[in-house]
Amino acid sequence: MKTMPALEVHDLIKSYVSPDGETVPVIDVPRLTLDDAEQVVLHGGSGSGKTTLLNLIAGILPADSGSVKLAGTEVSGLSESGRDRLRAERLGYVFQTFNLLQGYTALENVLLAMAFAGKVDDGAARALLKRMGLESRRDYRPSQLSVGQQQRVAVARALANKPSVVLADEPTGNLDPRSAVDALALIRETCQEAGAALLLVSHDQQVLAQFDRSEELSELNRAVAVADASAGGAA
Amino acid sequence: MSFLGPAGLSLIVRRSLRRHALSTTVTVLSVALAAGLTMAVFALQSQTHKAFTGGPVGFDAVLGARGSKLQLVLNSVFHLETSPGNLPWAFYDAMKKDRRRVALALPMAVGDNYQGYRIVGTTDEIFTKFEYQAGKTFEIEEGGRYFDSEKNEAVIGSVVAERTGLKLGDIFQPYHGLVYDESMIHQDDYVVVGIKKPTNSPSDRVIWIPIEGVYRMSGHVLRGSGEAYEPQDGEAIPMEHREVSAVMLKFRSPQAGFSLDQTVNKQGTAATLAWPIGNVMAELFEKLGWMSKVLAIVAYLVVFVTAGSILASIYNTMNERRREFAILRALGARRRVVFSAIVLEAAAIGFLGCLLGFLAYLAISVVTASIIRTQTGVVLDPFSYHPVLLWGPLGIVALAALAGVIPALKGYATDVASNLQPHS
Repeated sequence: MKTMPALEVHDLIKSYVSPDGETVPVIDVPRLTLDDAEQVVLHGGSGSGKTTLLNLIAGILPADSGSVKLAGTEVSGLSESGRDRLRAERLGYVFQTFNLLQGYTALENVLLAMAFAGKVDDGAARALLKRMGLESRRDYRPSQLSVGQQQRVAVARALANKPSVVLADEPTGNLDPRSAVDALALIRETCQEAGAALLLVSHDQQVLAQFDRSEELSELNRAVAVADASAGGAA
Repeated sequence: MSFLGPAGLSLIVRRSLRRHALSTTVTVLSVALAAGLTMAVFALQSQTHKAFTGGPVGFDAVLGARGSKLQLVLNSVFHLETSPGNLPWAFYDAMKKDRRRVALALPMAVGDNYQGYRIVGTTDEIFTKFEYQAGKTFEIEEGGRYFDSEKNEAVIGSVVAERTGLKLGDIFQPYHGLVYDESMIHQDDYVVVGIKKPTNSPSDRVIWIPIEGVYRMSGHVLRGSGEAYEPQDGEAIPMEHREVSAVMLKFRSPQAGFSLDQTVNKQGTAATLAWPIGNVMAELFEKLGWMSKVLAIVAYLVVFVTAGSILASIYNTMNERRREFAILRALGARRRVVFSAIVLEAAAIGFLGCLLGFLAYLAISVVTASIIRTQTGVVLDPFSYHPVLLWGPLGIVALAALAGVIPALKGYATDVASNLQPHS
């Protein structure tokens, strides 16, 4: 028997209404599945709808139609606060800009993520930061940390509640090439250790090359393909 | 970990307060002032009212010249104000002989001071028979004694001793009038023979001498008979020339007061009976009632303005905090967590303000109490309980929380997806 997939996306559709009243589709993903602890890289640049797709998976944005299942739980069927709770418990999100809470120490950033899932574990938070090589930096605030260290705090925070899936949006985009290699390795290792599937978005060929499975977002997302085609047709 | 509070709320609140430390401090201080002021306005009014109307004055009534009861009470009981005029000795005599109704009658003659402290002439019954509280008579400090009615001797109140430096055995000369004027010195020498132990009442600010001494003070003229008479050394003062500023009365029963009120105030025309003393003072406070209403309105206004400043100070931070709220939401915080955090932050500012407000209240109270004490001898208890000390802070915290609702609604409505990116 195959284990339950960490993430299943079916016929996911999201449109925006443009200022002149036209409905513009941004996401139309017929199918995307991540197995338990699987690591997948999505290749997509800006305008490919990558952030919207990740926000739909995370339940930050509600979908127009279709289904997102996180570790077997249907996200689209939940109320907003249900999605918030599920996001806290089952999902880790590493943003391109890290989005660390500025007034809080590294440790507090991790603890607060735990608090929203209702299971604060000081020891686990410290252990996570130690694993990230931040043992001596846990009482520093983001402004006192290097970019690479901030990124590691963001990863620790994403893993705080032992999520089923970690979403990473260009996590190495703000790092220099050498740090980027180390950072990527750390993300992949720690997700592996935590048993979390990883869905990482990048347009960096060096990053893409590291993954066994790589998906082209422009192929996955028919909305972009349609938009590209119509743009091409007009030219 | 409990320090995070439920859903991390306490951490979010504390970090936000710290992050906006300057505006937090300023707002907390303004809440403290508002809380202190409100508590002081209500508590001090009630303490003052209690001290002036229900204080242990030891007398039931005052008999004095025809005129204002209030002036009579202020002059004879609180040793403030001028005397409304004098009464012939016969009135005192009549009271003293009215054993059916009057338990104690003490004559009182005023008109001199020492460095602004009143000299009151009376009989030694003020020490032997007068009870300022049930069962308690004035006591004299170790080494002292009552004055001898035949001699130029004085017993001074504790505040007088403290402020003028007069000690046992010291000799002083009284000044004419109730207001201290250096040029008005009498040539009579008085010896301090006793210092009255403090009773926390206006009597602590008084110098007691034999009433005969007031009559015989150089330059004093008596008009008890309607004609001027100057007492001569070695010659007894005829009764008809003697006069008193007031007769202090203790009744055998409340009925006595009622019937004397009839005789003196309703049927008589020469004298005024101020009875009951507490009611006379209560009337003063009633007359000043509009002032306490104004003060109360001012206090309420200050509280509302402060609530507005809490609202404004938090609301002003909402734009810069949109991204923080979006991040919290992205981490899984529900909308109500963001909402509660902002309301709690406002309430916390109210709470911290009220804590400091108690200090402000105590400072205002202690200063006010000490001013009232030095001015009148009446003692307020700034530490005594008043309901405003409970509902004031509770109301302010509730109002602060309410003020937080408007920014909280804004925080509640923060869109996550569009605020996760840094704002350019």
